[in-house]
Amino acid sequence: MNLLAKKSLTVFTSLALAVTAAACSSGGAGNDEAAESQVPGSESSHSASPTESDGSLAKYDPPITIRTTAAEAKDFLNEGETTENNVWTQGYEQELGIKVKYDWITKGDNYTDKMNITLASGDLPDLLNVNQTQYKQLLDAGQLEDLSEVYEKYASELVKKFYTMGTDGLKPVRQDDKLYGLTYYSGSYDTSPMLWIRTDWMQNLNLEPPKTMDDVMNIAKAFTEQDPDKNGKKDTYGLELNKDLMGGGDMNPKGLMNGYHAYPGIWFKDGSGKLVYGSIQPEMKTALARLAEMFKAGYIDPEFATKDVAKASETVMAGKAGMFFGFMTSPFSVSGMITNENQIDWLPYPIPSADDKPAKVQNEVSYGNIWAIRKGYEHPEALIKLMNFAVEKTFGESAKTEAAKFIGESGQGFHVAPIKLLEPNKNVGIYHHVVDALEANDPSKLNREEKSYYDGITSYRGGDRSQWWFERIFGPDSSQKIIQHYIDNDSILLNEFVYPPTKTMATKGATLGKLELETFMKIIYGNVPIDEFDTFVQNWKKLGGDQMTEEVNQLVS
Amino acid sequence: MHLISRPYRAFLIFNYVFLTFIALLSLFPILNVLSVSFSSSSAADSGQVVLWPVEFTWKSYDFVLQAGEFNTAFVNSVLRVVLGVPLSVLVTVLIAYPLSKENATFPQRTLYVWIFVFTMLFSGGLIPSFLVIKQLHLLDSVWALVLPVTVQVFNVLLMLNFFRNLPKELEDASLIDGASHWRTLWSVYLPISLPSLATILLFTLVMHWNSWFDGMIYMNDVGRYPLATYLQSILNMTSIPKTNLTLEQAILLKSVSSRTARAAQIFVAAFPILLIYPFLQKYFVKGLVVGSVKG
Repeated sequence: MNLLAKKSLTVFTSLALAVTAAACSSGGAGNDEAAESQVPGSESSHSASPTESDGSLAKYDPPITIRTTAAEAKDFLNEGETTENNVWTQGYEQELGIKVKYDWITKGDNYTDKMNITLASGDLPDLLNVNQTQYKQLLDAGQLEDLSEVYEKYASELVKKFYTMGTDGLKPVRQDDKLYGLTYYSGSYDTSPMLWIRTDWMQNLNLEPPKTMDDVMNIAKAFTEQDPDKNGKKDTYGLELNKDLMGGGDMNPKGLMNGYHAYPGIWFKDGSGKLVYGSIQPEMKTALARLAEMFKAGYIDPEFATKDVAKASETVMAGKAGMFFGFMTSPFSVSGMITNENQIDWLPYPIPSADDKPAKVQNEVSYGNIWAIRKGYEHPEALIKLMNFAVEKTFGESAKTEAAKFIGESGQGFHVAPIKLLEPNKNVGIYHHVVDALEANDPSKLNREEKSYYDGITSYRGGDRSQWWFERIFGPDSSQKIIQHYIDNDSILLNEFVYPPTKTMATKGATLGKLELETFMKIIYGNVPIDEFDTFVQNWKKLGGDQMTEEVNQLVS
Repeated sequence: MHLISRPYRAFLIFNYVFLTFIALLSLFPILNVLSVSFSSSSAADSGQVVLWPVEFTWKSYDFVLQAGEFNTAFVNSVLRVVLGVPLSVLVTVLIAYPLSKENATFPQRTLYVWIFVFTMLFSGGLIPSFLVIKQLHLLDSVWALVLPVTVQVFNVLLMLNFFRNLPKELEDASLIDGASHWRTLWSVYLPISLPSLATILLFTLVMHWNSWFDGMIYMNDVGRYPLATYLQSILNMTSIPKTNLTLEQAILLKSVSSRTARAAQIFVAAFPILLIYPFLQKYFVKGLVVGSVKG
């Protein structure tokens, strides 16, 4: 019954949203907003505080109320605080004159389901925190306020700067030359694939770090055949993968494919300037053939087709596999095996190329959730001000004195704020600062967040190996170093499709994705010859792929 | 016993082996969760724990007892059961008794039964149900978890059929002796209906204890989540899509309590039901069968 309920939820929402769309604009505004309608608008409050020249942080007087929703971030609250009442909500009220009220607060994954019900029931909160699909539904139903003007007028310099770092951080929320929301844009570097290898095994076997894809093969071979853990049993594999391949997250073959100049699952410009889908390009065939070869030779965990990321990392942590393609966050996937009793260590390496052409790594721009304003809410600029506030307190001038209060001991207190934006691609910068501080043995110049990583690294070096992941993400030999290497060599290829799913994607995307996964899996397992790839490409195009390509190109042009 | 024929003996042996196998198969996951909850984190993370705890520790249970949210959720669930189960059983019996009468005593009886059955086949749907609860201002109240599920038509039918199976002479005798229908139900019917009462009690109990979806949609505050909803939300954290994970999300994931702690929470949550089953077991089978044989 639960399953049924969940399923009907998804189907229902889309229908009900359309039906109730008309009703909710009147219903939502009716009861709660009556009191607020007397509140002077932003114009008057702007002049009320002449100290703020640009008005980006001007205080509302009398205060206004904004209703929103939240997913609880309990672990980052200070002692005695709640989601409804904490440094952030107090700060909003005292400095901005904005009272943030929560219609509901949920936990974990349930946020999306709960939001779907809220959208369908028609009683929209003033400030909507939604995912891309929900955003699209609201937009199509005409439920969102146009923010173009208020963004231009109120957004602080810093916020505007953050949204233009790397690429356009507001791309998914620009429709018809208007701006309908803000994104939780975080750049793209964090998604760069890299190769992780167990260095204690490499030392056991006197292996050199890989320079080419052939080296990777040889390491995989040695890890499989030469007993890298010296237990006298042939019980290890070279490479670990997960059953969802590209869709599964860590321990995926993306990095390996990038080494062969194939870019699965993303849209990028080919020679003619048109966007093409990476998984159907001829380079994929070469990469898949190589994987099939490795599988046949026994270098890959033979049971990977039954393992999701969690199971796959279990296998790795049990000491069965010594190599995988992951991300800068991969230390989290294996940190459980690093204890004070063993000497296990991993190091990240840049993706090597299979030929003389340098390898490019594929990146996805992370836009995260979207914040938008319900159509009809009197103070759409409140969203911009809340954003200005969050960015100012964590990265602006006042951060120097107030960041401690807002970010807290964990250095992660921004999770509590309903609206937030971190400096895009900030982690590489943090890495440089932390490494400099480590060399100078002087953490005094570090900001709050950087300091927490610095402390982690020093306690790891002091012998606490449970803090290992700090060293491998921000230390001198860390995943951020690899990303810096990618930046230096200009080897990042962005996924250019950053919009909500197109019409054909919504209807046929799942089928095509399944076809892709199944075909690739069969090829790797050797159940079908590699030429099956050509059939797959034809089928993919026929079953809606061509249509998708057309839509994608239309959208971008 | 006398001689057991050979084929029958073979059948018996096969039966026992097969059923033992099924029993072990059902036991295995419970045992696995239990062992994980008693193991050290690193052993559990590297998949070493199968049937027995590795590096035995009570740490996870210490954690569970300290985690305030778990306890709040536990209390919420108990409250839900204490309010919901008696109410549901009471209402079920009160509906089933009149509907079990003959057409002569209760004209249009079949029509009424069908009205109930209709709700079994067609429901209002998720959004309308949500809107009803919302308009009744029941959101955030424990009654939102109790009232919508009070009448379980399946249980009503079970009870109804059980009542119909009782000898009609019992009712006649009691009515002739001057008892009212209330008296007949209370003093004559119910005492001999213990098996089916136990059955619907157990069904309702398990239903209340296990349902999480209503808690998720009707409760606007994590502090009001019943245990099943709470567990669902923490266990599901691991299913946050791990593609394109940012550093912040990764740290968020890492902060989620470890696998051993989750196992301990699952076990503590399942324990009350595990405890109650054996006591109701003997009624359970009997009640279910007796109630369902005759239409």
